Amino acid sequence: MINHDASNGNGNYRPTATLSRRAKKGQLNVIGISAGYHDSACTLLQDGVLVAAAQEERFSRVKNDKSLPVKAFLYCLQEGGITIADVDCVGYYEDPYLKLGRQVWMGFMPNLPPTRRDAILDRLSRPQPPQMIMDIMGYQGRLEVFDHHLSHAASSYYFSGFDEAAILTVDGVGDWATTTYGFGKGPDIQRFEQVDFPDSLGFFYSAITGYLGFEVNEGEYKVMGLAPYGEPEYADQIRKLVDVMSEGQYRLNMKYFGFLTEDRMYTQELIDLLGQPPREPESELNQFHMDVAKSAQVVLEEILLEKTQYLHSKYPSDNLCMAGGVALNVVANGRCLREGPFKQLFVQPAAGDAGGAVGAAALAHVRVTGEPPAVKRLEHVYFGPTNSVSDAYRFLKVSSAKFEDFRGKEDELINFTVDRLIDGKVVGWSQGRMEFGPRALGGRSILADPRRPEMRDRINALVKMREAFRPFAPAVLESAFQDHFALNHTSPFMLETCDVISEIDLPAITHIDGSARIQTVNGNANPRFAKLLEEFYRRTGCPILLNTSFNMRGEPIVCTPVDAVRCFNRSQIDLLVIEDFVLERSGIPAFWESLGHFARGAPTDAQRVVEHSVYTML
Amino acid sequence: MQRPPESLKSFADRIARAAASDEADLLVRMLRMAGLTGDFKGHGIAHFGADDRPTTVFASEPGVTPKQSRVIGIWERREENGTASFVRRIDMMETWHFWANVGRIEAKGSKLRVLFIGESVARGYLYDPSFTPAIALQMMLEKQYGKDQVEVIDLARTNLGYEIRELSLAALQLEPDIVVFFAGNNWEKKTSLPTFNDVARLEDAIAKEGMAGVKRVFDEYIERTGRTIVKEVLSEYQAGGIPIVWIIPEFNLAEWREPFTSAPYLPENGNREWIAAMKEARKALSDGDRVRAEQFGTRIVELDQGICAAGYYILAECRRLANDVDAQRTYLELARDAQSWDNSIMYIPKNYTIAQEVLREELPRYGAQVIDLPVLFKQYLNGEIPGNRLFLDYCHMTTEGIQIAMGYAASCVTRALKGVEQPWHTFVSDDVAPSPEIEAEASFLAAIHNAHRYQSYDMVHHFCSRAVKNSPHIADLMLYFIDLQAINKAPLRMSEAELEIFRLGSPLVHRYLFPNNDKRLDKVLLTAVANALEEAGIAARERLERRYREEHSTRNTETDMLHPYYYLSAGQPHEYEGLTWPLARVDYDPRYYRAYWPDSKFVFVGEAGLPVTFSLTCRLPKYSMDESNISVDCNGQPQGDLTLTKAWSSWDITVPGDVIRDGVNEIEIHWPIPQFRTAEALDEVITKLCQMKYPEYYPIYGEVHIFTASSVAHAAESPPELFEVAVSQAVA
Ligand SMILES: [Fe+2]
Repeated sequence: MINHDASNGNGNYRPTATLSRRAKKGQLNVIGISAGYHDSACTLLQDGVLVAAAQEERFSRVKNDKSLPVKAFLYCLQEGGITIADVDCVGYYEDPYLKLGRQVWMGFMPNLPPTRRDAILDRLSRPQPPQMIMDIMGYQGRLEVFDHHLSHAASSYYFSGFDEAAILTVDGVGDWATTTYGFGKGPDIQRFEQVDFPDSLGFFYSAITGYLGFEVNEGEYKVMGLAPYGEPEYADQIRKLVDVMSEGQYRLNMKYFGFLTEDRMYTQELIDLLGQPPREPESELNQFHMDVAKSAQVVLEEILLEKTQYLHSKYPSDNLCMAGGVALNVVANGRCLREGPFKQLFVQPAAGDAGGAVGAAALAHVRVTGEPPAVKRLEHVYFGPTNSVSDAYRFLKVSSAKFEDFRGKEDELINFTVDRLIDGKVVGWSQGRMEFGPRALGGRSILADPRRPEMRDRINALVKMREAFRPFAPAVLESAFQDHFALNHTSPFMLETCDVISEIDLPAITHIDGSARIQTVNGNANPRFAKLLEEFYRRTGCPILLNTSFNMRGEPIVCTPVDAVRCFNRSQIDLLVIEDFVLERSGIPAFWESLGHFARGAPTDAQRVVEHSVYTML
Repeated sequence: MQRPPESLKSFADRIARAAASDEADLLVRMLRMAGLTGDFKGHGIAHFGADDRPTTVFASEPGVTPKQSRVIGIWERREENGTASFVRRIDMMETWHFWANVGRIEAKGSKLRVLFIGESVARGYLYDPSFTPAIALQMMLEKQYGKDQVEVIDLARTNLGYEIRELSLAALQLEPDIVVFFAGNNWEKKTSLPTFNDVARLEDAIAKEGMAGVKRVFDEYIERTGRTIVKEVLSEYQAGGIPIVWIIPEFNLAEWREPFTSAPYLPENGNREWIAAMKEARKALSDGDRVRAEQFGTRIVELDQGICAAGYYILAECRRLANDVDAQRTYLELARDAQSWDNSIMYIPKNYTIAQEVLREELPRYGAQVIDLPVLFKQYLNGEIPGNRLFLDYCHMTTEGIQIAMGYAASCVTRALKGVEQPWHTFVSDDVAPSPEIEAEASFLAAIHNAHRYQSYDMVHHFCSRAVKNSPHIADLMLYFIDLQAINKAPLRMSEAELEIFRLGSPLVHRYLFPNNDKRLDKVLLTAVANALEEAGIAARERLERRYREEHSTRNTETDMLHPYYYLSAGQPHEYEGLTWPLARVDYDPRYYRAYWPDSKFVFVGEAGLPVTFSLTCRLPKYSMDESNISVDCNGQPQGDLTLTKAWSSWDITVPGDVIRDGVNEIEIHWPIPQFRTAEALDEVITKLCQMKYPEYYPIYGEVHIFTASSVAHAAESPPELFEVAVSQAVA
């Protein structure tokens, strides 16, 4: 510590300033980063404990923002109480040069359009992410780079609570691999086989997604949601798209896939094969579309089931860990678990590339220490910024909106909210820390009474503006879920589908095939959300609420109280609960609308925005 | 073949590994830029020829020669009963406010048709739509021609640049009897991404002339582009037999000051001397030693070869003190023109001398009448340098300025069409003016506009006072503005204060204030607002102090001094712009604070007697020493030294309460002055241009990642009650 004595000019000494080097917090601070493709994210592992994880889109407000997660990085530092000087290692989630090799190989395709070839040259001439982490973020310490699918594998295995497990990762593509087979044992992860680009189950499913008029790399879950309405009428045709081969291998029949050369996932041959033109986005969905969706889903499930059996044959364990974008297909996962050889399944809730940041951080931790990170099974995903009650209060107080203050009156707040839910109101619910990953799990959620048949259409009209065919998901009290859902284990991350067996009619959350994608809620992970469910249960006999993410269509999930109020204003949600404060629609001044066209939106920076007509593999 | 051969995968990996080696990415980039990798277009690095005009504003129909365009700005041709009118396009509603608020331009009828084309100065920025130059011209001409005998078609557009070509050529379809242009402020350096030719030209210029070469290249671009466009437009109008009037704009030379930057990399360690000379010159001026200041000012300009404004401002001030108005004016013009090359700070529209000269040379060749405002304003002001009397900011004019310019325009129109000589002032009358309420609002908007562009307290205060004097209704609005800015907890649109301003203000306020304002601590502006109100007998200072204390005191909250909200009040525009990525900058830029001057200032709101603890994470930059001390001052009092290296380090600094004062406090870091590696740094400029990174022409003295201020740990008593008084109750 340096004490600096200074006189005030009269020779009298005044109290002195103290200047001291700040003590580092945490023995080992490891940052994980994923960026450059879809949903960039940053995470902090402090002495092996996951303390912060968030996607950049939540801060930048650009949906699926793929730029370097500069804001999420600052958030992670703040949450960990550290500065950039305290970061011991950064783990980056993929090897840019492996990825570049794959991109160069694509350039060897004959008759490649000049724009494609040019884009590859552009890639070769750009600074790569590790350099950008130094230039843009100013980081200058140890940096470790990991293979894309290794990051996926790590994001699942190290957070599974298993001390050994088989590991299956499946996505569109990262570097070369699109599917990997391996296992984890203690601190080590091994891979024994992989399928390489362009053969990809992710692209197979995305091609159907594009054909069905949904956004590629985004709308895949809609295909999964559409499938139960259809029959697998086209399964035979769709099986022609993938040659399933021995061991872990399969091969795409490239005459049906356009992504190597075109700005479209599929070719005219696929259209000929299925016999109908592709669906125009936003147009009517008919039985044909549903049948195609069902057929694709069935084919995906068949292949995944076969490949999990293969994985088990090579590594016979009770435990399976999954990650990668395809692992978000919960229907397929459920079938693999039910019909396959594994007894327990753990799927990383942020199974997509955002989760790669968590995996890269864990891998960096292992590389530095030789030990696995200190995690038991992941219990929650509340790793984002928290709402500060006092900041929320100060914001609302000086805003021109009216609100009610329930500070110190949690029971009243719960009662009030339950009253409104029972009245059929749609409630925006922003509490505590924001979730990491694609699902809102009671931190930044929209809630409603699942018993009301009109709720599905109503929420779609109010805020989601989405296809009405998909039901919403239920959040259910952990203590009561087995009375209502045919599932023998908890599902804290909304990653399981199961049959609805409730005596209560639950039209808003029950799929056409009688299934639901459930989240089980307990008081440890989210006490206030559990209280709300308990009170709703006590009053109605129904321990279930409809739960969907708190965002407008095309926007990221809300993060701050200001985001929540902004979304509340722009949607037609009835009620907004932020921590201890409640806003009703009537309390929003008309003025907010009147100057709407002056409101500056999120930046539309081409570098950030993700393309949705084709996987931009570049 | 449906997929590339598997056998090529290893080779592809080999190429990728080669790309990972040092500078391989740069090699590929340069080969592409040079066009050596085959036929290539798009992605921003197109190969332009000499007339590489940028077009950003949609002024005519793309892909069609402008004269055939169905589109004139936001209006589109519509044929009805054999006549063609131009109707405003709904799909361009987002940009309507850049143009005159006119739904339809009818087909030419019997009225005398005067076409009026120009930039924001011609729009009447800050008065429009309540009062505009076109309205003034219309009123003046009606006196001459009678009501309903004349129509001024207002095609002025805010931010119109070189697109004036397309707009003017498309507008020929409106069959004007005469055209009045009022343009020349937006002819600036090229802002699109650099082409191969640009980079090659810059590299050559830097090698031969250093940074002066950079300015020459950009000035030549302005000159060449402006001249090409003027020639083409004028020849088309001349060929159409349409008489031409062109108003050459003038600039607020007396009061406007370009935001301060230090010198870019200078040869032979000139930067060290430049900094010392600047500090000496400033000190000499504050000591009243004009002669000494002038010596240093002269040396500054020698060192930087005239490519920085700061030295010229020193010299202009010295000449002012010597009552040498002509030399003062010359230096102010040189200061205005000096940083035409610089994209590190916000671009301010201005009439560069080179643009004026192009107009003075070309206009007579096409028989155009020239209204040379620099000359005419000088006459009008009896040789004085034009300032806030005629200008609201840098180039936009006050009512008086508009009256003079339009008086001359009316006189020229009358001369051309009637052959009648009638002096300009005969067209000017009191009714050709906005109401006092509008004048007050425009003045207040000007105060905000100037403050948010780093202008002095005096200039900002001038417009605040002018507002209050014009109309008392502005006072309440100004009080709510204090709340709007000082209370940062709610975004603009959601805040109670903005709702009140919405209720009180005219459409003028709605138009300019709401879309353009950002929340800021606004130390200069809010102090000027409070003082102007107090001077008019309206209590405001206490309100401002209370708001600052309640909302921002370190007692209650940790202040992020790098947040633009605070940082914008630190008086360091160059660093601010570096921190917030103006449009010209691209995605590969550092996202942390870099000091462009050896002293970095930061502000926070404190309370006298209450100690403050600062948390600072910083390092020395790439081209600095490996290790050196920095010193820290708070409110001008030294607080101690820290030893830094080029690696980040984090520090806690606690400053005792007796150093802290109520209200806005300053903490300052003094960085070491390094050896300047100019050749290396300028070489990197070229590399960065090739990589489409921001070219860093300026030395960096220090880097800061985090700097916060908090007294929470020191606040002995419990924090005061949270701010409970609703804004609407606060105005007595
Ligand atoms: Fe992936």
